[in-house]
Amino acid sequence: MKRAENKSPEAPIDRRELMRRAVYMVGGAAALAGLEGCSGAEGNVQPQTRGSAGRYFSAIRMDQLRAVIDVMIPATDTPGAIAAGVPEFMDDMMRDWASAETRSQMKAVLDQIDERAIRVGGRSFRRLAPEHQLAVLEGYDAHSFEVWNADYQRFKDLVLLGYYHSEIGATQELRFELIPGRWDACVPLGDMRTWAD
Amino acid sequence: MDFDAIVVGSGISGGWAAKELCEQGFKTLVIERGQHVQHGADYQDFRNLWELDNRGRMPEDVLDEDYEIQRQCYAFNTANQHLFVKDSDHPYETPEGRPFNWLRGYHLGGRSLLWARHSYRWSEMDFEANLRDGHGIDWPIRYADIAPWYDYVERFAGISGSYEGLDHVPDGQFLPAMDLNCVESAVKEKIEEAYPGRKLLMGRIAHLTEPTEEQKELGRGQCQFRNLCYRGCSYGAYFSSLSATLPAAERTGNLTIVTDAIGHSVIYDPATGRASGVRVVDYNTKEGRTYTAKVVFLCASAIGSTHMMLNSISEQFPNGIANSSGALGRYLMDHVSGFGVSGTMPGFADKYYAGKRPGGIYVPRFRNLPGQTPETDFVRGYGFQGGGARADWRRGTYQAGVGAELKERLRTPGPWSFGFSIFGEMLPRAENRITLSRNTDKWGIPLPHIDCTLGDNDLKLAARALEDATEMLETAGVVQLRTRAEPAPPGHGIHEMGSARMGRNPRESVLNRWNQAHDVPNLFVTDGACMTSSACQNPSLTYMALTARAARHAGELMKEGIV
Repeated sequence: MKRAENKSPEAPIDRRELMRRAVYMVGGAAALAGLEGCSGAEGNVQPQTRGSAGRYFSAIRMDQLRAVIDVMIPATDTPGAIAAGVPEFMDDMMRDWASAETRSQMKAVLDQIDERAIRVGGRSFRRLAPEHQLAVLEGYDAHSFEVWNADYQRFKDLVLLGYYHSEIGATQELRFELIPGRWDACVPLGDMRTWAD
Repeated sequence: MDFDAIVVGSGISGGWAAKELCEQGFKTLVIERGQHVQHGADYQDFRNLWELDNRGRMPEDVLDEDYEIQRQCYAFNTANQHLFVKDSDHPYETPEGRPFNWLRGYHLGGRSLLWARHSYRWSEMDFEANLRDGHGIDWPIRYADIAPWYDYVERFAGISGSYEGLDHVPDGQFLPAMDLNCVESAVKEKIEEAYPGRKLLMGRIAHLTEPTEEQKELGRGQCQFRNLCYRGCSYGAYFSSLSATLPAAERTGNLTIVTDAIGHSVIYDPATGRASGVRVVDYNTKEGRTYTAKVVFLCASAIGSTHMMLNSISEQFPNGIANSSGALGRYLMDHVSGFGVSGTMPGFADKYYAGKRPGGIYVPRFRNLPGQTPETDFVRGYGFQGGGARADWRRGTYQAGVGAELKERLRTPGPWSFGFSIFGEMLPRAENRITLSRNTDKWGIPLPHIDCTLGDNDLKLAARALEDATEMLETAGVVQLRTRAEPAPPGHGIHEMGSARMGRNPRESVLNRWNQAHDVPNLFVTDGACMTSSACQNPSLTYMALTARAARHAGELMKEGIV
């Protein structure tokens, strides 16, 4: 009866999802904290170690991607994009989402960043010292907005999506409520952070 | 006779027809061409952002191959992919250079799961418009005919809104309105001061801000301000067939639902001069079968119902059932939409909001109102939707900067934006037409061929609407305006209507004042197809009211033995 091709994965709802729904329906957001405590960190992405290939990118590309992403959204007083699994997200998106054209655009961006690193610093981006990596990426980013490099804009969009839609990005860096339960239309900003989606 | 009544389609109109017929004690069959979707279980509204497939983004190759049209809909993503049709499976034709964006979902509940939920009454002005300016034919009803039915459907559906006392967008039976945010309140004040008679109000949206006992009994709960409506709402906080009308129908014990059954045609019995039932094609086996009943309600959407009627060929009706007038398929309308203007609102840096309101503001029509001296080169008018919000992390994509500085910047909300999207009235014109193609789909049914363009009045109206929207934003202090000047192709407003219009005269209309086919007295059409003009308000509430009214009328006719 169901048309499988027309549904996103037919995956049966797992136990955790069912429990969570039950909790939401009964207790709303307040019950969330306790449940998440029980279920542990199984939802967290485990960042891969240096040197391993991704599902799409080669090991070298993954290293390069990790280096760029780490500089773009570093760990500060909150975890950064590496902890949030953004390199793995980008790799997954190349396999599961991107067209051939998008894949080559993303590779082109990594190549352009490396070219700049070699021109400015004499070695590929992933081998540069952190402060030089930041200078190279800042220069490339600024230039890309001057000349409107659409490939880079798409790359940056994906990195930001990967971070701000991750559990870390949404809940630790920004502010996230799956079930707000109220609409306060006009409140003082104070030290509130940007709402996640 | 299998059933007392057959309802084709389970969206906004079909759900109401089923509820009203079942509650009058009639054994009712609802035929749905798409799959069975279960309220709650088939929604992804309890998934966190990081749990959505591809974080919501549809694979690019899949969009290219299978979703050429649907991909243009703002609401389409991986969390509700199953609520949109695959264009590659459900093709239709348009003339080259005259696109029509038919945005739709084939599943139980239809587009009631995906609608934008804005719900406005029509007024006497709207029902008189055709008669007054001569475009189209006169509506066979007036506001007084439908007003009690608006009351009735509003009380059941639950519409949140404010009481404004406007004659041209009448007040209804409202639940408490949601509040305007700080910037929206400021814009309201400036616009209402600068333009006496113009109003900015919170949109009247079909959300339970304070559910009634009747609504709670159906298992519906209060809006949680998640703004995840396009994933379906397990709380049943917004009105849909699955949250409200079909459960109400089901509890009578009179409802039967058949899904995966594509409406092929209405069967005409020349001996009785009546429709005897409906022929369907099984979605999976492609086999045909028929269901019989005393009355047939077509609620398959304007294009869906019209298409099915055109495909209902008999000796009596060689050009489609109930089409002695030749009006069937003609006078297709949408709203002139998909364009507008927005910009940045300076200030208010210390203000924010908490929670996610699932709807925006409304500026009711203010041009060519009764009693005004027309100062325009067009007839009819337009309203605006929109609202204000603070920029979120997405602005980072369009701004230079990386590293700790980028993170620090995006963790604080950005500037306020405020904008208007325009919805203009489109006139009924005979040449805007649905016909049957010679080509067929994979179930052997001729494809709809849709030929529809904006006319001279529609374009003049659009140009002025954009000028007004721009001027009003400037007056309100909005700066750095960004304009989308061109209306989208028809269809894009997802308010298609008019292709089996109501009218007094059987020679120029398909349906009478009860949404009953002039030619076939037990055939009713109560979705957008019935509309004689388009007004500029979102039309779903009017479909609800007309459907409930028609179903009551059909019930009386059945009880009296007339049909």
